[in-house]
Amino acid sequence: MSIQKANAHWVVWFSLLGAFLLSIVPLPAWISIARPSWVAMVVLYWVMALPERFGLFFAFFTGLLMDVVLGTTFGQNSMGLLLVAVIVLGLHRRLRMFPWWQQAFMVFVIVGFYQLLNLWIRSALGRTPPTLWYLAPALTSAAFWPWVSIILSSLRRDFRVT
Amino acid sequence: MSSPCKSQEPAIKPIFSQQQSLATRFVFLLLICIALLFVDHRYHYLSTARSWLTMVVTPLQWISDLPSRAFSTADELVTSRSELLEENTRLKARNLILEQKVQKLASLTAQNLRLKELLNSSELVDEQVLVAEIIGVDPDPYAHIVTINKGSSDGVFRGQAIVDAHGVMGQVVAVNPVSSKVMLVTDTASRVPVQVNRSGYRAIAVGTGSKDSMELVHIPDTVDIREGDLLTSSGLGQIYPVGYPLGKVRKIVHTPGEAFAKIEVQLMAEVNRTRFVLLVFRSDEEIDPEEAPELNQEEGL
Repeated sequence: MSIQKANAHWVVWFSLLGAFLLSIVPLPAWISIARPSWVAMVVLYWVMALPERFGLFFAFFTGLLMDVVLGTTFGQNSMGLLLVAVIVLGLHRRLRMFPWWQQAFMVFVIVGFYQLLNLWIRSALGRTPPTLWYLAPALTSAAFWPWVSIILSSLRRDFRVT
Repeated sequence: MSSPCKSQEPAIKPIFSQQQSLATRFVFLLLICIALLFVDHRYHYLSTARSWLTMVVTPLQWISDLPSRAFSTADELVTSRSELLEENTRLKARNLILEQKVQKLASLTAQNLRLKELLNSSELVDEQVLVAEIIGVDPDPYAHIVTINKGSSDGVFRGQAIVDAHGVMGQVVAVNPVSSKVMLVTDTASRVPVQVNRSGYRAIAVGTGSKDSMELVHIPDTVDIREGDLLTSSGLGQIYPVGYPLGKVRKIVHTPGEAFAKIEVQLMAEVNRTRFVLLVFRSDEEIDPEEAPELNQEEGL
């Protein structure tokens, strides 16, 4: 069975690199509490757009890299991104049809799950007393989602990423 | 049904082909995640892998720090001449005062060593320091962890104490060849064994997650601690060297009905303002009192 050839995947890696940079760039503490989960959003987009190319393994290894970059316990972010990927793989056909505000709401829910899983793992490992502020990134991610999806889909069209 | 399909080229993307194994793969990867979490949390098998991987992604950190670096450089470039002159005069005056103090310090150190010798003090410990620069702050707002630009190739080791010009600042929690991570004393996971300078009472200071203060725990209401008391590290935890100032007691609250007082400590170190920190190396060999006056020159870097 010959599947169409993979194309211009460097765009995906560059968007991921950008997301990593945005998620570690130093910010004042009060902003950094609500820093959007850039990597989760980018993973969400590519899994939604190209589910036959980017699936669970993509999310898992991106999560491992994130654990290295952020210095969290190995498995924390990979489990979170795995959850994001499996939700999106189940929903991607519907997600693509949604208008932007409904998509943003779904992003809020999915990133919320991701943050919640992170919170559970952290508290299970005994790191810092968690507060509900930990869910703030879900809200800001939803707010930024329309722009992220516009930028990434224009990139996808321009460079014909398939 | 399937044989005619095989002969054709599939024109559409095979979206349903992987569906049946999705759950299996998810569970498989989930189990790997759980195993990783368990192993990384309980054992140290993965620390070498992590240190090498961290070294690979260090450029990422360096790039992300570029904007703030550029801002501070620009800030220096546009400082006016008069401001520079003013600063220069101020620094000269300060330098003079410090030099005078160092002169005294040399003779005092020598004297102290001789007196300790007389008292048959078991160990005379001198500390060497290495200057490091903070090159990154942990993006997690709930963890007080910074990255410094010295690693195991400079002799940095896990559990090494970090101080700044004013007091105890933190300890190294992870090392890779070119950089290392420092947990600041204000982190909620941080504990510093301290001693009240005035009365010698020993206590443990606990990080609260606030940026400039810690708390003393399990201090009975009757203990002789007053506001303004200086707390120095007691050296009992084997991590922070003895005698470095940690902070001053800012507030003491006695709540009737509670066994322990609530004591707030204002930190000396400018934990979230300094860019340069000092790594403390302890050389545990005995020091000859005759060499003592040279100690101070060796420390300077």
